[in-house]
Amino acid sequence: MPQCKECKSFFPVPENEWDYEKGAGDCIRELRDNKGRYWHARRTKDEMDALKCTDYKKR
Amino acid sequence: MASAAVLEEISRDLKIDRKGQPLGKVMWEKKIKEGPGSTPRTKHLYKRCRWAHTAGGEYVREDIKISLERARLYTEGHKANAGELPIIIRAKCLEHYLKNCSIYIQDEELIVGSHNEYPDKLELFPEGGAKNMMDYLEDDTVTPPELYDEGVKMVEYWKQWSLSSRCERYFDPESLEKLSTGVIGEPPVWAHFYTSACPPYQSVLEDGLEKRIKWCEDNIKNARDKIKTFPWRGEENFPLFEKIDAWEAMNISARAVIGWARKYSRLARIIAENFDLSDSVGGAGQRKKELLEIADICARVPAEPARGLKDAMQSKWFCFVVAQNIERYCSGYSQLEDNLLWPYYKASVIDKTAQPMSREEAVELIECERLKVCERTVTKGRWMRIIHPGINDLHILSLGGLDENGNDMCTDLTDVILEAALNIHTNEPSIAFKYSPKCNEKTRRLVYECISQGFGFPSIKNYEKNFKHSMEYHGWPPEVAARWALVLCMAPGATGRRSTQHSRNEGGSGIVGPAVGTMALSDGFDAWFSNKQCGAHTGDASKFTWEDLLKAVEEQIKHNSQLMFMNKEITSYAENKWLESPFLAMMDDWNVEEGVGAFHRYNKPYTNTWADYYPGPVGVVDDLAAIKYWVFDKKKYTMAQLLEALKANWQGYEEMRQEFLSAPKFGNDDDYVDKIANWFFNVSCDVWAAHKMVGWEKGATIVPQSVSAFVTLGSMIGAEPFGRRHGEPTHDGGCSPYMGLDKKGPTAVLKSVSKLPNERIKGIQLNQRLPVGLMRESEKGFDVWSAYMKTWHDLNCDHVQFNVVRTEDMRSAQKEPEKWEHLIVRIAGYSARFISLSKMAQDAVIARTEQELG
Repeated sequence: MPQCKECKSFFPVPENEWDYEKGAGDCIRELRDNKGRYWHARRTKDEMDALKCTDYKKR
Repeated sequence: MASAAVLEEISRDLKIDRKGQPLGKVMWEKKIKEGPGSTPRTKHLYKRCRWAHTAGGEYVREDIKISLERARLYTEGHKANAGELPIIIRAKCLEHYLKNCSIYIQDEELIVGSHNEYPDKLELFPEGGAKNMMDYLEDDTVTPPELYDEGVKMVEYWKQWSLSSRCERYFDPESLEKLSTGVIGEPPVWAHFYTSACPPYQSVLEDGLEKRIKWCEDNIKNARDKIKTFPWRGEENFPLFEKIDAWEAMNISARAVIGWARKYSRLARIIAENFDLSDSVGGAGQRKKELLEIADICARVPAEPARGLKDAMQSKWFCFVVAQNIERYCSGYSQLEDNLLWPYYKASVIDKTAQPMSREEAVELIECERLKVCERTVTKGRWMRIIHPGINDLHILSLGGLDENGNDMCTDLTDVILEAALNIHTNEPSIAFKYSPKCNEKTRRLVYECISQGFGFPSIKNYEKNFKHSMEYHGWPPEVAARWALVLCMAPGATGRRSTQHSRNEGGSGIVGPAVGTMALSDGFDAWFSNKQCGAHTGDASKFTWEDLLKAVEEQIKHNSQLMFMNKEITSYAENKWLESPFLAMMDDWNVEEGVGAFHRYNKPYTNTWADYYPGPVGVVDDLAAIKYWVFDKKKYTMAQLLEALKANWQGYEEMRQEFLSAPKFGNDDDYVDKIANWFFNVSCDVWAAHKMVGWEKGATIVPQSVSAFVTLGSMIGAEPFGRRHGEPTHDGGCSPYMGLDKKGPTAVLKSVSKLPNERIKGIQLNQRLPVGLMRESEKGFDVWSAYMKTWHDLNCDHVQFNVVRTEDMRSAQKEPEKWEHLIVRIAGYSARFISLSKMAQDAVIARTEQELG
């Protein structure tokens, strides 16, 4: 079963950050729509099941 | 005479080669040819701007949809902390949200930070109440079906905790019903969750949040030491418990905001180091450098003091996003921007001691800020969206004025902000200019050039008149009274570090001006929209004498304003007790000193208790004048005949209507009607002053204005004796003559306005329309306009704003809107894209009298 931490979009929250929690990470993706592109960060957990994630890309 | 040197300097700054032509004409043609934006970046950002304005209450872009991220995280935060004290719950909800929310950075942005899950998303505020939230959920143009059930569950959860439930219990059913109609006044904040604030940014820019956290910690320590001191002093110690809670809530909030800002720092660095940026406008290397600088800035501010202009702009933006978009929704963009940012501009652009940058880079940064404001998605209630067509919110910043010693406060930054507005051509944020003849010519010329481009802004407020009023009626000390900025469209509020306005329940809200007249003729019954008894019972108007009529109008003013002030104070009580904004409180020195929440108003140093008439009430003046003229003086008609004609909406009474239309009208320097206006406004000021809101014994002050309600509320206001039919627009502004009925030129308008008790009025809106040929296409325009402004200032008028737009251009835009996206017009307190207005609003602007000057 793929997990978030194995994905290219997963960036762990460093321990010295305010929002650090064990296993916490940012799912960061480049997105585009008709108004251009932007980079989006969503909070996630390293062991989160990524099976149904359509954006999952193994590192 | 306009100085040629000033004109040349402005042309140079704007990089305009006039070739002997009027500057305004060349700028207009350049804009049509090249499009807005002074740099490739802002040209790009303008083209891809995610406009978020509404028209007819609906969002004009189909891409705009709701998100439930904020509502979901606030609900989780509330459930997890439901046993806590209310102010701590609010702080923990904010903390939970900021820790877990999504963030994003868009391409080419120099200022980062947003309040929504994704671009183009609307975030909801379930703690406000069910009404507004359900209105969004039920609207399938903005709510994806998969979010509906979850949203409804949230509404159910918040029923017992919401601001609505906290307020409704204090109203009797009759008052509640009257307020809810929207016929006699603005619906309550708790119904549409529309409020406004002036965050004291200066404290955060100067101190940084870390210093303020330490301040709160010291206050907590001192309080704890005090309660341990022998012997026990209950009267002194009891209040400390509540203060300790407030300081703790402030610190939870401030730490969360620092952490959230650093999430942006982290994201910017990750983008710079991990993503392909090769198609950036300035190339990959340049964009990487910018993103790393953004990462550095967001790591430092708002935690630390701002060092230069980039820090200050970013810190201010973060505070705005949290205080006015996340902690709760607040309308406005209130600030004295040139004064606030001047130390940082000076450090970066002039002295080059911190974050050195060129003047052109500063202009670009301000252009970026303007575009960022245009992308702000707002979820105010439908009633409010309907009266604000063509914008996403009332974003209005202030510039200029004098200091308390009479020295010009305009700086090079004032000019940079105006130049940026000229370059980027966005209708938001609007600008108010604090006009004094002592303001330097270059700045006044730039103000004129913005007006001549048809922006409708800067709106002009009389600096000296408002300085004096702020001291005499609000009791502010001179250094505070000098540094006012508009809260929203028209009303000055204190700026600086302390005691700024935090809630619409302190200053804001309003009653419908024309309704106090129509209700006096119908014994308070509204037969046109709600079919309910909305006003006071004042008797059968068919039997009225002239004196009875005036007394009935006065009773309606009292009745409607009583409901409004009662509602404002009930809501103020409830928001202070249950729905605090601890981060906003943390920004304000007075709140930190006193250990009180943002909405606490007892003993507040600089109170700002005011409320509007909107739409403006000049219709009542013209109504009374027409009745006096034809019923009581000429005795051609009886009151009973008039009431019959009004009941029929003038249908079948056209000859009579024409006669009532021909009666003396305000705006023509005619004492017959101007004396009635003076009586009406004095009575209104007396009634307002009689309402003593918490914290200010002198009573409230009045602000007659209209936003766009003069058109959109036309359907709620019955036929009027001055000749208006039900459904037609009412008078716009607060003292503007009715469209087309000011027939004696601009000086006559100003003379009528000058006969009002202006010194008692906090702000009163005057809309004027000036010809394009003079303002944009003539070398004489600035001199002629300056002479007009001198007359306006000499007559102690409060406010004026101008539409400079051709009738044929507006007609063309009605036929081919796709070709006229750039056309901006002044509505009332704001400027709007013409093509986003309703046909009736467009026609109302077209019908305004175009004054001939010179």
